[in-house]
Amino acid sequence: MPQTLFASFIGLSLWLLHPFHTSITNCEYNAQSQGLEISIRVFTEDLELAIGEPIQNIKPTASIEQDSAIIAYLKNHMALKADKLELKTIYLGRETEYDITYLYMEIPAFPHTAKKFEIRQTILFDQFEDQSNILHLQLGEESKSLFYVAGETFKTVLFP
Amino acid sequence: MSSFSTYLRLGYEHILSLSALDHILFVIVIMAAYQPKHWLRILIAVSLFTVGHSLSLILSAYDAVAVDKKLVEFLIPLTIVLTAVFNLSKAGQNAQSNFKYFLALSFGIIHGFGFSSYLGMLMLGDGDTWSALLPFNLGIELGQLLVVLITFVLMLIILVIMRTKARDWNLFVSGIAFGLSLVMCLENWPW
Repeated sequence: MPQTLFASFIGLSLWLLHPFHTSITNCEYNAQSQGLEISIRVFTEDLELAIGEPIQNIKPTASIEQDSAIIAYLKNHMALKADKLELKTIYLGRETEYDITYLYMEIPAFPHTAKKFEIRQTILFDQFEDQSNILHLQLGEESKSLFYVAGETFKTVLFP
Repeated sequence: MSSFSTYLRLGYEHILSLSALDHILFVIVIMAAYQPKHWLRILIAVSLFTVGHSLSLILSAYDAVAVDKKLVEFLIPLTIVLTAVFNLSKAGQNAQSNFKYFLALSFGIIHGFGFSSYLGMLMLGDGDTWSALLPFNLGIELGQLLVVLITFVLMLIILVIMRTKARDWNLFVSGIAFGLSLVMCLENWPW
């Protein structure tokens, strides 16, 4: 009994150590290219855990072929529907700065006049139960923010 | 939701999650030697802790000070260990001692450096350094305030209604904080 207590005490203390599980996604409509520019900010070590391999620090354009694991992962965890129509995202590359990795994607010919957007952002939910994902969608002057916690999938955002 | 309320919620939920237990434990252990009638002293001590960690957060946001992350993760639980031990001393048990204020402020500075783990994630670029950080930290302060209130209600129940001796309560709380933070110290041993 004392051993069990002691072990759970140690276990509890260990479990408390990791600080902060979150990611931030910015989606911004570019009127010139008419595409939706997406950047996802994640902690590099968290992303490595999710895709199961280390991320090498290579310039974004040089590494798209090597990023198949990231692309496959994003496909499973991020999706965007405009007025119920699922949109195709294109992976552009990534950058790593200190302990943060930026993932870049684009949706070309984005239907920015749509009224209803359904967005899924579930990265790292399988890895951390305290993971939260923040997503900002900016279309022109209008900006909306979504807050995802583990267990949630698609969230709906309406534009006037 | 607006982005302000989103980051406010993120900060609030972060400080109330178990992964921020070191900060919560510190707030509780700094309150341990007080009784409900010392509410003004509690308020001052907790505010000084906030001033301390805001100060070091600003310093690290502007790259004015660079600290070793490993060292900070060791020092943070050490501040709890030391405060818990101080609570057992004669001066520590004396609610009128101003040394507790000094501890709250200086150890607050150490805790603020621990927040740097989220700086990179929340600083969006040179132009809007604070647009995410400010609501996030307000959320943290709100969460911390809730911890103070809950602890205060517990103190009312245990010390005023149940009439437990203040010394016993202090021993109980400081003991738990000491044990948990000692394990965290050993786990984060930097050398």
